[in-house]
Formats: sequence, C-alpha cells, structure tokens
Amino acid sequence: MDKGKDLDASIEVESYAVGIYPRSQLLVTATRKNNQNLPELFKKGKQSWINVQRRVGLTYIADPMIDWDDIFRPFAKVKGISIGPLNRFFETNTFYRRLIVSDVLEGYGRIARSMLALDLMKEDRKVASLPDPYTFSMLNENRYYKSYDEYLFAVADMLNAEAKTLANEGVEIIQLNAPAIAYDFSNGKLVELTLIKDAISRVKKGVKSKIYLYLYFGNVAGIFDELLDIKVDGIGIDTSSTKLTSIVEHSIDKDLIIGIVDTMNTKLEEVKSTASALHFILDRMDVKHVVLTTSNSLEYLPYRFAVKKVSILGKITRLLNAKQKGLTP
Amino acid sequence: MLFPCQEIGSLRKPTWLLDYVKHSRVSEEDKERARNDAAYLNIKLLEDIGLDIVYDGEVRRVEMYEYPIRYVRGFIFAGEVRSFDNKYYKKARCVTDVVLKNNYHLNEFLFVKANAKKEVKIPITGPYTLADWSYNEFYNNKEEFVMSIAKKIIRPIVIELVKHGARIIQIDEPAMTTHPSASEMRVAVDAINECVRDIDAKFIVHICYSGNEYRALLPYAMDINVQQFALEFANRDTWNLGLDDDTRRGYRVLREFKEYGYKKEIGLGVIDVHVDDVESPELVRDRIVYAANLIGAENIYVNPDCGLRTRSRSVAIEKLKVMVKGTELARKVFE
Repeated sequence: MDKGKDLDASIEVESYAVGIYPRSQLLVTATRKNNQNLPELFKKGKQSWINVQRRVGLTYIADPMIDWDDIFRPFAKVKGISIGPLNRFFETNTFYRRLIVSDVLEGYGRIARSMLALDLMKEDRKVASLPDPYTFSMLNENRYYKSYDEYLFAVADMLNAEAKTLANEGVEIIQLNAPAIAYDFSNGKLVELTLIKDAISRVKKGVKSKIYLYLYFGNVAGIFDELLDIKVDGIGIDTSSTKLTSIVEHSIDKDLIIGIVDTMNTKLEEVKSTASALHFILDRMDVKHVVLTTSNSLEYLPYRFAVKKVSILGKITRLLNAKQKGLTP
Repeated sequence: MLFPCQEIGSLRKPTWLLDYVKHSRVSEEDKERARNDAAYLNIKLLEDIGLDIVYDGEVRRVEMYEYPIRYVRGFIFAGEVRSFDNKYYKKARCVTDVVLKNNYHLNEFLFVKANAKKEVKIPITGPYTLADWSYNEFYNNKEEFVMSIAKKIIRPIVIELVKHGARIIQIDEPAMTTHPSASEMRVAVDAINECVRDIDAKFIVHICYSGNEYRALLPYAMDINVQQFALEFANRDTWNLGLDDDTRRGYRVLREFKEYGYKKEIGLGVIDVHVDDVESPELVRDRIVYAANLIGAENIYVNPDCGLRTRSRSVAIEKLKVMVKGTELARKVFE
C-alpha cells in the first residue's frame, strides 16, 4: 500500500465522546436520596460535562445523558412498549430494563430529543447517539410483531423518526451504537448482515445528519468489508476489541471512527505513544477522514477517571493533528 | 425434609444502625455492640420466619464487593460506578500484588454460630467476581489476577472459617457467567476449585443475572467441586399460576440442566428481589413444583433470587414469609 495514500492532512482529525457519562458524587448522593431538586441538579451536571468537553477541545459536544437510566429506558414512553425485567448489558456489570414490545409502536419521534439538553449546546457542533436497530431489537423483547423482520423494521422506523428530529435540531452526527452486531459476530451468532443493512438504511433515510455506525464489545475485523457496504457515513471500531492493524488493508470510503480511549479500565493511556502509534498506522491506511472517540460509554468509569479520559481524548486528538500536519515528529 | 429454605445473603440494614454507626461521637466499641444487636435481630428474624438455613443478613458488610476489598492490600478505591438506575457500587483499581490484611469474615461468623439455632451458611464473595468488578492495572492478564485472589485471599479465609466450625459456605460469583467464553469460564472454574480444594465443608456457588440463563455454566457445572448452585430465576418468570413451560419460562432452562446430566442441588430463586410486589404462596409453590418435576424434588433448596437488600425490610420480610408458605404448599404436593 502506498504510504499516506489518501489521508488528507488538511482535514482535521475530529473527536467526540458520546453515550452515558458517569454522575458526579453530588448526583450519586442526590439520586440515592431521590432529591427533589434532581431536574435542576441534572441540568447543572450536564452543563458541567459539556464544559469539560469544550475545555479539552472535543470537536463535537454530546449531552452526557446522566439522566438516562439506560440507553433504552426513555423508549418506554413509546406507545406499545412497557418496562420488563432487569438484564445484564452484555458482559458488563451494568444492567438495563428489557423493554417489552406488546403493541404496534406509535407516538415516537421526540423521545431522545426530549432527553437531550440541546439548549445547553446552542453554539456547539453537536453529536448524539441512539442504539442501532439490531441492538435495540435483540436486547428487548417482541411480543407483538409476527416476524423478526417486521419487528426490526418497526424499530428502525422508530429510530429514523428520532434521528430526523435530532437532525432537524442541528445535531451534525448521530452515532448508532451497535454492540450487538459486534458481539454476536465475534461469538458466531450473526449469520448474515443483509437484514441489518436494510434496517440501518431505514434509520438513515431522509436524515440530514451524518449517521455513523459504531461497533464495540466484539471483534469485527472479519466482517469489516461488509460493514463498509452499509449505507452510513462512517464506521467505528473500538480498538480494544478490533485492532486498527487488522483493518489496515481496507480501502475506507467513509469516515473512520476510532474508539481509542478505553472506558473499561482506569489505566490511563499514554498520550504521546498513543498518538504516535495512531499516526504510524493511519499513515499506512487508505482513509480520508478520521474521528477519535472513547471505546464506549464513559459510565463504566468513576467520575474522576472519566474526566481524565475525556481530557486524554482531547490531547491525543491535538497531538495527532499536529503530527499529521508535520508540526511535531 | 423436602425443599429446605435459605436466605441468599443480604438484608437492608436497619435505619437505626446506619444512623448510629455514622455518628462520629459513638465509640468503635459501641458501634460493634450495635452491629451485634442488628446481627442478632436478623438471625432471629430469619429463624422466626421459618428459614431452615440462616446467616445475619450481611449486616456488618457495607456491600459484597467493597467490604472484602477494604481488607485486601493492593487495591485502591477509584470511585462509584452505576450498576443500574440509581444503584452504584464502589469500584477499585488493583495496582499491586494482593495481600490479605485479615480474615474479614471470621468474627461475624463466630457471632452467628454462637447465636443461631438453625443451620448456618456463610456467604463469601468469590475470587472471579472480586477481580471482574475491579480495574486491573497490575497483573498481566485476568487469569493471573483471579488466581492470585483465589490463592492469597479467599482460600486462606475459607480454611480458617472451616477450622472454626463453618459447615456450609456459599461462594458468591455473580460475575461468573458474565463472560461466557470458554477461556473465561475455565478461569472461574479453576479459581473456585482452588478455593475449595481438599476442604471438608459443603460449598455452594451463587450466581445471578447472568444474562445467558446459565447456559455458559452448564458445560462446567459438574466440574466445579461444589454441591449446590443457588441461582436467580424468578426475575425472568411470569407471575401467573401454572406449570406449563410458557408460564414458568424463567425456569425452563432447567430442562437444559437435566439434558447436561446435572446432578447437584439447585438453590431455586423463587422471589424477585427487584420489585416490591409480593409473590403469592401459590406462585412460589408452582415455581418449586415445576422445577422439582424437572430435576427432582430432593435436589431443590428454596431461596430468593438474590439478597433482598434492594427492598425495604418490611417488603423483604413479607417476601420471605411468602417464600416459606409457598414452600410448605409445595411440600404438600410431593407428600
């Protein structure tokens, strides 16, 4: 492969951190006591996290989702959905309530919007996340739709309406979190992607924002070619599951989102060596645009370490940009 | 007697105890007296409700992970992480080789042993869970981390407890089937076997909320040198009465246990510990009868899905009473 074939040094490497962030100790205590001022405290907590993201220089700013019980729970407000039993979220020690779909899905479109403090980010470039339709469908339970296809597409249509609203309100990037695709593939449970591709296309249809598909909790090197066929604007990998070197030979005609900062361990990444390693590999890849992010939600870290990790993400991005421009060795 | 009833671990601490031990002017000696009082009350409460196997509701332990970690050198608490909703637990970083400071369960066990009239079962958090719920910044890999805790922390504690009269020891491993790959499961199996190796006592492994209905456990269940698996089922079951597979969907996986040739005891979770609604005795009966028909009545012990500390004491007590009543109904079916 030609060295540095397509990476355009004039296009900045960008960064963001989406998903549920950890709550500060103040909020931990307040939520434990079911403090009456919780809405106000959540708002302040969100503002604080937004300020952290700005301060460390992330390109896109995300609502820290500290008032989300889990990534699905707000969708319990959709007509046809009720709250089910507690379930483990993949191999983490974090749990979610499985949603039960027991009637036709209706009354959606502003569910995610209503839970995101976009008004606190008016001047910022904004990013948001939603579950991808496959992950949503697999981790929740269908008791209404006659077939899996029908259920999956109903979920995709719901997410499409949610994404359209976010796009119309100025969210530039919507990251579809797809841990179930990665996890099921790496465990030999995902036999084919055709249906999933169709569902993701339905989510993207008519949405003005960029749609990224982000895969974590499993090694997706073996289906990376197929993932590149999915009609989205970017594909993301968590490098603690899928090594960047394992996809180095692919010609990537979409944005590449790299989950480089590990949110599953407090061990802090060394900024210089991480940026140098990224620079070395990216220099050998056929990719036009790169976005750096965290391996997944920051909620798996205590607050103090999450702040450090977001800061490290900002530092790695800055140093990598300097390297790409030849400003530093 | 069929279907012995047992608690699985923790009860919510009495408010008066929490208020008292937080008070800065109260001496350590007085705090310990208060804890003794609370432990005594819990033991008698569980006995009066009619449980056959009891402990003290883990009243001295702040939490199943944080409490043992406090007594192990090598860990530093990093902060709180959410488990679900507004529930959190302190999570620690392992930064050096682990060393046991002292046997953090011995005194509480001796107190229970001295005060309980029923059989005593002591719950202990297992090595795999302690490692899995921590951040590993020191050991080269998970196996090294888990086995170090098994050899240097849990096994010495177990040996000393047995020496002081412990006959039933429950190793809590809620994380055990979290990572269902063969390599991870093998680490968990080896660690438990290391903890119990050549020790003369009855051992139970408690697992809950595995995410895969214990299917990851099945191939290894007979390789683990324990007599019983106490598991959560009610959380996934319906609240309708009946003995058909669909109604008892939370327990259907026991068919697969049977197919795997499972021959050990099952501690059958019949009470959902995450809702305040109290099950009816008839529902408990049906859950027991369904399971007994699958794996044999003589193999069944009855317990809540998990510790009841997430519920108020009044709800927990009602749930345990119903569990005992439902068990009596189930006994009648088999008599």
